[in-house]
Amino acid sequence: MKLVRAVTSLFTLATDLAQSRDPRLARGIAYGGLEAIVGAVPYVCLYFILLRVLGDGESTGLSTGWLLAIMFGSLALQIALGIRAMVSIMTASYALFGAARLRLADHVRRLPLGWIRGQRSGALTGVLTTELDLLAEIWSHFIAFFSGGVALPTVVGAFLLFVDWRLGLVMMAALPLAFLFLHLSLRGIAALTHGMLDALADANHAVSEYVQGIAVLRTFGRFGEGLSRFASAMEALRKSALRAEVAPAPLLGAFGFTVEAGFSVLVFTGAWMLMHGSIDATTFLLFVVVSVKFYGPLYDMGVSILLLRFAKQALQRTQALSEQAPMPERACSLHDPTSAAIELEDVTFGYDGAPAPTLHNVSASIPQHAMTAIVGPSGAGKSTLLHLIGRLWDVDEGRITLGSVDLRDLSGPDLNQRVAMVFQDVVLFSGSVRDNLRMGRADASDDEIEAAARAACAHEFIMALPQGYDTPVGDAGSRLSGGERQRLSIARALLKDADVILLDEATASVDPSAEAEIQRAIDALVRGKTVIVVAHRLRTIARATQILVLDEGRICESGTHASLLAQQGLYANLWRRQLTSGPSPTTAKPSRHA
Amino acid sequence: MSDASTSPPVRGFGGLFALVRTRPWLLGSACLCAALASAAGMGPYVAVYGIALEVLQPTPEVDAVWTYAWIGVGLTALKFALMMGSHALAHAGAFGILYDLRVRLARKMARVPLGFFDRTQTGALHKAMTDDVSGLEAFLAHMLPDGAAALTVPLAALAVMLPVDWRMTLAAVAAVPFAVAAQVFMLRRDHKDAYEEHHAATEATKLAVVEYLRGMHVVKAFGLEARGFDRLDAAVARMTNYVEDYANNAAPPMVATMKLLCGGTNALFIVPVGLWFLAEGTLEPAVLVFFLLVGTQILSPFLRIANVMGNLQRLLKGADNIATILDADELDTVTSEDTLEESEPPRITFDAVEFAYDDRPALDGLSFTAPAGGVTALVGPSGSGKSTVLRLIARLWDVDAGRIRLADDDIRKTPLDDHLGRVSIVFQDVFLFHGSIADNLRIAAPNCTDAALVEACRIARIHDAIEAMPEGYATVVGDRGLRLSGGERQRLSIARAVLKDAPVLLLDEATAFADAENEALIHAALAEVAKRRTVVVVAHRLATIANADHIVVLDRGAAVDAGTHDALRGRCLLYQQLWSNYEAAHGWTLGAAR
Repeated sequence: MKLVRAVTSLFTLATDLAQSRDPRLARGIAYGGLEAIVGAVPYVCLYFILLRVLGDGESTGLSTGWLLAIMFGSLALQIALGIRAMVSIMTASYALFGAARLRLADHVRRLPLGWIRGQRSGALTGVLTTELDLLAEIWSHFIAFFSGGVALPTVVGAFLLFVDWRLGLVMMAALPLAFLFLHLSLRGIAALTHGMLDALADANHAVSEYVQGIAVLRTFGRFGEGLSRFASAMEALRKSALRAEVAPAPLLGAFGFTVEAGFSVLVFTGAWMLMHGSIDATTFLLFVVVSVKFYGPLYDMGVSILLLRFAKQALQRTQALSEQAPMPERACSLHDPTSAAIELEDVTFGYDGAPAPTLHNVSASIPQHAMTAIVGPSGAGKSTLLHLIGRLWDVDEGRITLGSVDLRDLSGPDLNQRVAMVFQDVVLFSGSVRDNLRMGRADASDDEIEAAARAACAHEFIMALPQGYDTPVGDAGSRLSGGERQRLSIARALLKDADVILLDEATASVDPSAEAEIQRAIDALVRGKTVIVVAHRLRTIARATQILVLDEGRICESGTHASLLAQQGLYANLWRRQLTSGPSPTTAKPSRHA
Repeated sequence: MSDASTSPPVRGFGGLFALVRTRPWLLGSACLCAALASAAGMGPYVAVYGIALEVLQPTPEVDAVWTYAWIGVGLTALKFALMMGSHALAHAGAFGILYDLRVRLARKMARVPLGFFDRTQTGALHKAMTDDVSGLEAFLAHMLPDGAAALTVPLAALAVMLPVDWRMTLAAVAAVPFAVAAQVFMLRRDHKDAYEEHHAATEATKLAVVEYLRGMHVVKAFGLEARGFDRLDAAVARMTNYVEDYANNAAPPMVATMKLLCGGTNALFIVPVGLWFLAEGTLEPAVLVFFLLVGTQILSPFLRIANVMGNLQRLLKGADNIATILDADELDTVTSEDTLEESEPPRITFDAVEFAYDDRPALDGLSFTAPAGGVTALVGPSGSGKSTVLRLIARLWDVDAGRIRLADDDIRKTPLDDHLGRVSIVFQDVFLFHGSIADNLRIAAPNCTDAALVEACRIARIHDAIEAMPEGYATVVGDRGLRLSGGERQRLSIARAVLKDAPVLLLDEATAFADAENEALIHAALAEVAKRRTVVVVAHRLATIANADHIVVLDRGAAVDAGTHDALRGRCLLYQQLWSNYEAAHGWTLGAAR
């Protein structure tokens, strides 16, 4: 049955995700079960007391005083066990979900960057934060509830069956019907909840768009299109949330009614049996008083099962993430690269879901200690090629070798040590400027860090920061310009001193006011290295040893600047176009400064 | 909705009840239904008392028992019908209020100066509009009706019980003071700090996850797995520690409250007292049974209240965040009936304008004139106030001193919406929402024809690029859609401005794209757009100046010179300096260094 499957898969959820166990969990569940069993004791005492009060007073055993003492004692014990259960289950579940978060985060970094970048923004963050939080919350509630919610009715039911099996069966008669209603309402709710969660995601997205786009939206009319788009997403959320709450209400009501009306049926049947002399008055009263402890938890349990519906989508996304295949990675390299030269052999690559490959059968030899430039119109696949060489993701067909070793046969650390990438979007981590630079090489001395910063034209502005190299980047982040951040990232790459430098030339123009400094930093970085640069301004790479011209994912020309110009092909064409749209205004002839 | 948006925001409980008053009928009837449902819920137990009295008689009548049983079933049905009704009504009211609040917040954001968004983190705004608003549902749809029931049930119970036996009534409610004491103890001692720490730990986790994922490419490229992990690890540990502390502190009072309030515990008070009176001969056995049944039911509404009390702190904090946003100062707005009907491009004049971002001065007595119907370029070193000029013209902020005139009108004397209607602005980072290209364009002119759309795109030199996309104008872009290059985004934004057809166009040239081809396209687009408009461009790349009729050179928030390129080239030192830097950077050839 669906219900049972949902419940059992939920039980193993945390341990599955975390791939570890926590002894506190089992302990907590045991405490919860014990608590429920102890919770039934007062009712047994009550039964004996009632026997004495209403019966002939001849029953044997403990005195009324003792029975009362046991009732009080069991309350105290219940509280003690309840506290232990709550503490154990809460701490165990947060520990498990904490471990699950770390394991998933670790898993993510083994996935190809291509996959990560293809996710819609915030989706991965969502899984690793709010969705795991939601699962942890629902799960710990559920476990706590279930350990008591199942144990108590079971104990009470067994006890009452033992006292009088006929009346016991009457008490349980309505349960199949009740659970049928619960099952039906669960089925109906699944689709509604799905719609509601979708609307919620859309609404959250609309909020981000509105908040981020407010400056623009305002210029198109403050209360116009932008606001009405926003309002209609909120209206959709209102409607679907209301539907998800209201539509299942009749079936839920039927479930509750069936459970609780069972009580009236029990009382009537009991009274009838009593009048016909088939049970005595104390048995009747016992059932009447104790059955309340049977029905109440059952209803609560049914409602708590409904909570699971909110977990379902989070569960699916989390599981989908944990099942995503990681990029194969060797623990140690198969061979050592013999040089810093790179070969592209028949490389074909396409993004998941894209109709056509981005790169088709690209082959090229990239000589070591020389500069190779990749040029071509936008969308030709230049950046993709650079990313493949950095193994941010793997080729679909063909292979890329570094010093005659397939990139896939190199261990992660070996590859990282040999290849450095300078990205256009600079990421600085929390920590000091020095910490951020030292990421380039963990064992770099302070002197080496400073030398790298000087070479990257970063030393001066770093010294101008309030605490110099020890300034926290969190504070400095907003104070640093794009150009300054870029120079920090170049200093980081300088420290790493890799043989191969992968570079996007546009990196230099991140901040036009600091272009010259960034250019000097890049010049320091690439000296004597195997450099592969994606170029937009052709003048920049006119001296390259080799220029690869990409068009629609294929290499259509290659050679030196001079030989390519002579070919009169795409490169010559691009070059001519850039000359005409060059820097100097056609009306003016500014003098050249050397 | 309109009356709600004019009422001032109130904080704390007063604020919550002010919200309730915007949906008085729905929420009022929800409370009424909840109260009646709880009262009806006592019915079966009263009926059982009737049955008990009947069967304990020497000659019980089956018919009477039947009647009582039916009353019991009927009242159970009524209880669930009312409960579900209350549920539906409360959620209809609550979701309506949440919708109103979100739209109110969105409208507020269209009214505040943009400086507001610098001070308030977008994350906080996002949270206020999503989580904080959603959190109010717990109060409106759950605490409110539960509260009504919790107030009614004891009254109804007292009304039923007091006439039967006042002494036993007191025994039945004896547990309440203990439970209340435990609640007060819990709320006072732990909750406030615990909530803060929980929130802080959640935020720390979120930030760590965001940093980890955002920096993933750097993490991978530098082999910094451990480094990227440290922070996440620490955040997870912080949360686990917090939960351990919290569970140990909060579990005792929480469990004690639950146990004291759960039905049946008060039997511990009822039984001894009842036995005493029985022994005294002042109590009928049937009355004792009655109290064991009805008395155990009166506490459950308190339990439900206690269960949601934990959310109260979070909820009030969220409500406070919302109120803070709704309280923010708005831009001065003039309202006027006569709207300007001119489409002639106006001259733009700055008269001694001063402006500071909080305490950071940006413009210091800036005066200049942008002639009507031409391109005025603003140049200057970074931090000279170029972008600020555009923001002030668009009234994203208001000047601190001096004035800005369009034609002869002070822009603050024009109704804000009229003013915004006359100005188009193309930002550096172009905002695209998730939707088709056509949708993104139509935000500027919701009712424009397809032909007008295409024409605008031709003018903006983006039509060909759109046609080349997989689904042309229907291609989905934005967060989850096709990624456009920076240049394409800016040209799309220019097309929007063309569609809006305002007489003034403000363009903040993108800094980050060095694609020469794109530059040429943007310049061509600008030249055409400028034919019928007053254009003000912030030029980060001096090449843009090729198109300018008039150039204003800014330094430290003031104009140092203005004129044509030739004139400035001859006489303005700063201008010459900017040019020589630019040429040096533009003449850069990679690999040429020493």
